[in-house]
Order: sequence, then structure tokens, then C-alpha cells
Amino acid sequence: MSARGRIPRILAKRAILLSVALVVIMLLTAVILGATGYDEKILKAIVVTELQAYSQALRQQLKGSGEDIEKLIKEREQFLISYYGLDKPWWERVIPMAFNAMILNLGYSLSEEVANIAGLQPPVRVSDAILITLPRTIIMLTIAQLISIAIALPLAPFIAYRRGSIWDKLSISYAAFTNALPIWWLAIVAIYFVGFQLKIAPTSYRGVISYINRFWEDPFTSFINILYYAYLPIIVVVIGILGGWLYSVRAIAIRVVSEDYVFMAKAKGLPERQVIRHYVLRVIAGPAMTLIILGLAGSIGGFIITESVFDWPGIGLLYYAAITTGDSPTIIGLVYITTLVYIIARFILEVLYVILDPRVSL
Amino acid sequence: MSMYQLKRSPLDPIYRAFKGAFGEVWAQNMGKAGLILLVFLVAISIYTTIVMPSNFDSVWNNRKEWDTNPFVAPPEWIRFFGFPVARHAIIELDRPVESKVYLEPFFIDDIQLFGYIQRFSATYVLDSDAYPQSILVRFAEVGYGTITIRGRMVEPQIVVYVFLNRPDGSQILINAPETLTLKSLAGKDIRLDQDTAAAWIERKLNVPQDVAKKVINFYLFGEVVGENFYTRPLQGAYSIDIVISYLAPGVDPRDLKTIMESKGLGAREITIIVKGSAYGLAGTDDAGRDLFLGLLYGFPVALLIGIFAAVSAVLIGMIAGVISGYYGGVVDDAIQRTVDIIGNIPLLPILILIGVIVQEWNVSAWERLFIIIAFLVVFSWGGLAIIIRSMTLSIKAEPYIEAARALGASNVRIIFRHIIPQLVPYMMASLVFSVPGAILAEAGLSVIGVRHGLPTWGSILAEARAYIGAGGSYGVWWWIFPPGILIGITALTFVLLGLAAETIVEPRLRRRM
Repeated sequence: MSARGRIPRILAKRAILLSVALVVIMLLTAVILGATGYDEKILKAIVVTELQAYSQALRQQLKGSGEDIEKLIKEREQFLISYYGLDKPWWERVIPMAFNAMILNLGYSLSEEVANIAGLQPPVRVSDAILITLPRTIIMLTIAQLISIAIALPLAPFIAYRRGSIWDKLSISYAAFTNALPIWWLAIVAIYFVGFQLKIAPTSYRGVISYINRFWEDPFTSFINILYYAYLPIIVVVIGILGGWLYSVRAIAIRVVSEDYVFMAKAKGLPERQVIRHYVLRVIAGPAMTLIILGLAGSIGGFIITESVFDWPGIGLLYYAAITTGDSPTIIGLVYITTLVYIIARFILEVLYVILDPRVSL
Repeated sequence: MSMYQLKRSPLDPIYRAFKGAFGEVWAQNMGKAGLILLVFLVAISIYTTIVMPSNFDSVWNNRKEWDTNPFVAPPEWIRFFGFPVARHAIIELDRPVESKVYLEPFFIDDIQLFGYIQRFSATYVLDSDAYPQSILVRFAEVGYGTITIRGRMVEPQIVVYVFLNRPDGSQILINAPETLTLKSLAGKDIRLDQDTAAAWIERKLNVPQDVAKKVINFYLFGEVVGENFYTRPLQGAYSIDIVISYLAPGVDPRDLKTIMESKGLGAREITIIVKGSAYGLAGTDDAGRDLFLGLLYGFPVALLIGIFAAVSAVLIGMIAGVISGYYGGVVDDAIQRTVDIIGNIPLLPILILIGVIVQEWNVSAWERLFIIIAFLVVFSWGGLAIIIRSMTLSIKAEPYIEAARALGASNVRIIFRHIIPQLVPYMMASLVFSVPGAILAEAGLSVIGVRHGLPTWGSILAEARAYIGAGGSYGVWWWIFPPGILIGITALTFVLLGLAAETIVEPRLRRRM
């Protein structure tokens, strides 16, 4: 078989393996929710509240005839129990739970906190909650990622080129510090100084919801306000992740910088800028692309802790609210969407590797 | 013979690789800084483990243990930076200034007293421009037992009054008097009662009760200046008078006094605590807990979390990687697919979920913590396993492995003598690199509210955030900053060690792969 003919097969195999991983992850999440009784506790609470509402409504509609009401409530209870699958053991709920998520039938969230973060009234469709919070995470995290990439990608090769110089040492120390200091702690410190002491940034960021949700009513004012809310989180996240970017791009570049052909270019007397642009940047573009795609895909999943410190109403805060209020539909929906995005990113990378690798595409 | 065997033990090459790595780490500045920090962390952890009571975690969570401290107080050393600090004072009184029988009733303000009366008195000097937070009187030692007078059992009724005599001469009753028995007096804490004190302040200082009640300590220890009842601290000597009246209906108070004194009954030791406006080396939280102790306790816990998680993950990763690379086949496939799955799992949400589930379980704080860490380990060995596998594959292809096999060496022998020793430097590096991950993960989980119940730096930070979230001021810097700085220093220690170790590992990696 020709080398080109192998490409679809290789990709198909990777696609299958990644899909299997996705299915297993979904089942695993459903098992964690089911086996620990987490899911059941919440469902029971939902049944109790629904029954209370139902019996109140009944008592208002048909006064008297106590036995009938009792009977109707019993029937309703039976219906709800089988509707939520509480009459079955947890393992029978696992597969429907995972399967429904995977066909994007994410269901409804009854959690008030989840609705609050989305800026809606409960019950909220989980897909709506995710779609509403996603742009907010993109505004904060994806933009911060892009800024960091835009700084690190041109800068790191120069640092690698001057390996051992003061700039190299500074960038390593900076990376070491930000690797050790959690971003969410930087966030707390930044809120303390910039928000609380200097009062030039908010101390709570949930207010950004109305400006994003009603952006088109007055785009200019909304934009200014979103900027006011977003600048500190973005700066903090950039400070927190830039070190890692510099370090990893530098590590990729160092391998290239010490290659013979770079020596050769230097020996020819080519100016440094040209050497970096033609001989280094081009070569590191491939591996750097891996980091960029995975970084951007990861940013979609939100930074749960940092978002919750800022009270920034993005995917991370939604995750947090769903987990702490026991909202299984939102949890499983979020796990599915974030894992799916990540796995698609991985697959895109596989495609790029196979297409770009000269050994495969002879 | 035995010496020879000891020297040639299968672990010997591993030990030598370990020692070599140590030397090379020490040879670098970053490694040196990391090792020095590590010694410092370990020394504090050992000190803490020895000094702290073994049940410190339950002491920490028992709010009653801490209410003699001021609440949300900054550390005392802020006065060296020019901030006024009202001293925190613990005054122990072991004898009354007066113990006397009054046969005629007498009055202190409008309180009528009569019979067997004891007075204890202490002085507190306010010498700075700040308000103490509160006053607490603890009956540390009370003699109690049965009193029989002329064949009749007598149970004296006890009423305690705590008066604050201010430097301006006004006298304020600060507790709500209640009738006690000897037994209920023992160990009793008499607290500042806002309503009583505010009523007295209204009468004596002409400040409306509802104004005084809001910040009672401003009016107890301050004088009104200007309009709107603004106050400033009133400096000078305050005396705290504790008046105890013992009465037994139908018994001559003189007999009561004689019997009680002969049997050593009644209040013997009283501790007066004037809660200052600052406390200790690291301040306190909203339950009065001494943050210095909590932070100290955080050292061994953080090291334990980090090292336990890192060692477990590296061991699992090594075993999986070596098996996968050395044996190949179905086992290899199975391990690779597992790594695929755990590599794609959204780890943090799953960990938070597990944390939220575990915190409801009825197990000890340590067990809860270790369940969370165990899950962290389960999901974090994948990356290492892949690298170890590829290293194993390349080592396996070396001629000397073939030679060893030809000489009849068993698989186990080849793995332990020829493969693992070569992996040790790399494993050391990744071990060191994965320590901060676990510490930061625990801290992060705590910060967003996963409670395992142990005082860790993360949980101290979490409580600070909860305090701010519940309407407290963001200004509690002594509560927010130190835990984060300690988390950072600890993580930095291992990051530095890891960076130093990485430079050793890197050339080897490049040669093999």
C-alpha cells in the first residue's frame, strides 16, 4: 500500500481511539456521579420539591376530598420516581446519562446558582447555560492565552538564542516563580491591591453578566464596561501563564538553535534576526502549534479556581456552581463539552502531524 | 562474603544514581537554593510534628478553644511599623482583693449587694491609640463540693458582676449577671454582654444604646469626641473589678464564709483576658484562631501531600512505563489506552466533584484528604508512563541488554540492574516536578471550598475568602497573604530542584530518544 493510502487509515484509527477515550470518560463521570450516591441524593431532593409544589397546586384546585389528593400525589410520586430512574439501581442510570450527554441531549438544570451565573431564571437548559457562559470565558481566558502566545512566540527564540545570558536566566526564574505561585492566588493579591486598595478595578466581577448579555443594546458602553471588568483578570492570567509559555517555547527553540544548520547560518554571517526568522521560527512553528492548539482548547474549559476567585461568570464558575449545588445534568454536560473540545483539538493535531510529516506524505 | 553481597545488592546502582543526581543538583545555583529551602521546610515540619499536639486538627476546628483570642486581629508586629496596637493581656488572679461579709445591704450604682462578697481586681493600661476588642473573664479554678451547715445541705447561689472602671472615673457593668452554682461557675467564661454594657454606657456616658451596641468596644475603651458620637481611644489605667456574691437562703453569711474558706470552696483562680487589637505573630481569623499555629501546621501537611502524591504517581508511572515498554504486546496496548483516557480527562472538575462527595462522608479528616490525593495520583501518572516507556524501549535495544539476556539474566534482573538505574535521574526530576502540582491542587481545591477538615494553607485561604464573601472586609491581608506565600515558597522549592535536576536529565534524554 502506498504511503499516501495509509493516511486515512491512520487517522481513522486515531479517531476511533479518541472516541473510545471520550466514551470511557463519559461513562467514568457518570459512574462517579452514580456510584457515590451524589446523583441520587439530588434527584430525591428534586422529587420532594416537585411533589410539594404539586400537592399545593392540587389542594388549591380541588378543595376537600383528602383521599383523592393523597391518591393523586402517590401517583405523581411514582411517576417522578420512574421518570428520574430512582426505581432502578444507579448502574442502570449510568448509560442513559452518558448517552444522553453524548447526543447533546443535555437536559435542564434546576440549580438557582447555575441559572444565576447564566443570567437566566431556572429551570435553564444546560446547553443554554454553556453557550451563554462560553463567550465570557473566551473574553477572559482565550484572550489571555492569545496575548501570552503573541508575546512568547517571538520572544522565546531570542532568549533561546542567547542561552545562558541574563535574559535567559530571568525568563527561567520568572517561569519558576509563576509555576510555583498559583494564578488564583495572584488573582486574590491583584484584587486586594488593585480592586480593594487602589479601587481602580472591581472586587467582584459578576456584574459583567449584564454587559455581555445585553451587548448589542449599546455596544460602545458595553464594550467599555466589559473592558473595565476584564482587564484585571486578563492581566493576571497573562502574568500567570506567560512564564510557562516562554519556558516551553524556549525549550523547543533551544533544540533548534543548537542544530548544525543554524551554526552554519551564523557562520555565514547572517544577521541574528534573519537567522531566527528563517532558520529557527520556521522549524519551531510545528511543535509550537501543538502547544497553541492545546492551550486554546484548554482555555475553553475555563480556569475553575481563578474564575471563582474573580467571581467571573464563565465556564469555570459554571462548573463550580454545578458541582457545589449537586447539579448533575450541568456537570455531565460540561464534562462532555470540554472533553469533546479537547479531543477534537487533539485530533486536529493528529491530522496536522500526518499531513505535515514528510515520512507519511511521500 | 556478606559484605560483598551487601555491596552488590540490586539496589546499589539505583543508590549510586541517586547520589550522583544529588551531587549534580547541589553543583548548581538553582539546585543549591532549592536544597536549602527544602532543608528549611523539612526542619520546620519536623519541629511542628514534635511540638504540635497530635489532635491539633480537632483542636483547630473546635471554635470554643479559641474564643479567648481577639477575632480577625492583625499580627502584633504591625506596631513596629507605626500602627497603634492595643495590647492583648492575660491577667491571672489567684486571690481576691477583698473577701468580706456585709450584714447590711450596700449598693454599687443601682445593684444591691449583701452577704458574703468576694472582689477580684486587675488593672489594664491602655497606652496606645487603639481599642481593645473585648473582655472575657474565665473562672479557671473553682473549688466546689457539698456544704453542710448544721446537718443541712446548702447550695450557695452565686452572682458575678464584672465592672470596668475607666480612667475618666465612670463605671460600666459589662456582663449580664445570672445566678450560678459552684459547679456551674467552674470553668465558666463570663462574656461581654452588649445589651447590658450599652445600657450602662447610655446612663454614664450619654451615648444612645443602639449607637453603642454597634461597636461596643469603641465606647468601652474610648471617649466621645465631636458630633455623631465619634470616639477616640481613651488611654490610661482601666481597672476590671469582679464582684462575686455568695448567698444561701436561710444561712448566716458568716457561717457560709467560714465553711467555704475552710473547705477552699469558691473562686480560686480567675483569668481576665483583655482582647487586644492585634495578636501574635500572624494574627487571628474570625474564630480567634492563631493563624501562626495553623500556618505552622500547614508545613508538614503540605510536604506530606506533595511527596506522597509525587512518589505514588512516579512509582505507578515507572512501573506502568517499564512494563509497557519492556514486555510490549497486549499489556502495552492496555496501558497506552488507559493513558489516553486519563490524559484527556478534565482533571480538576473530577477532583472537585470527588472532593465535594468525600466531604460528606463520615471519615476522619486525614482519610478524606488522602482519598482526594489518591484520585489525583490515579489521574496523573500518564505522561510519565509514556516517557518511561519510550526510554525503556531504547534501553532495551542496547547491545548490553542483549548480552545480559544471552548470559541468562532474568527479566526482573535486567529491569532492576540495567533499566531502572538509568531511569532514576529522570524519575527524580519528574518526582520533584510533580510535588508542587499536588500541593497546588490541594490548595486550589480547598480554596474553592472543598473541606477535608485539616488546617492546610489552602483551607486557611478558603476561610479568608469565605469571610470576605460573607461581607467581611478585603483588608485582612495577614489572613490572605501568608498562606499563599508559603504555598508559593514550598512549590518554588521543588520547582527549583526540578529545574536543576532537569539540566542533568536533558542530555541523557536527548541521547536516548
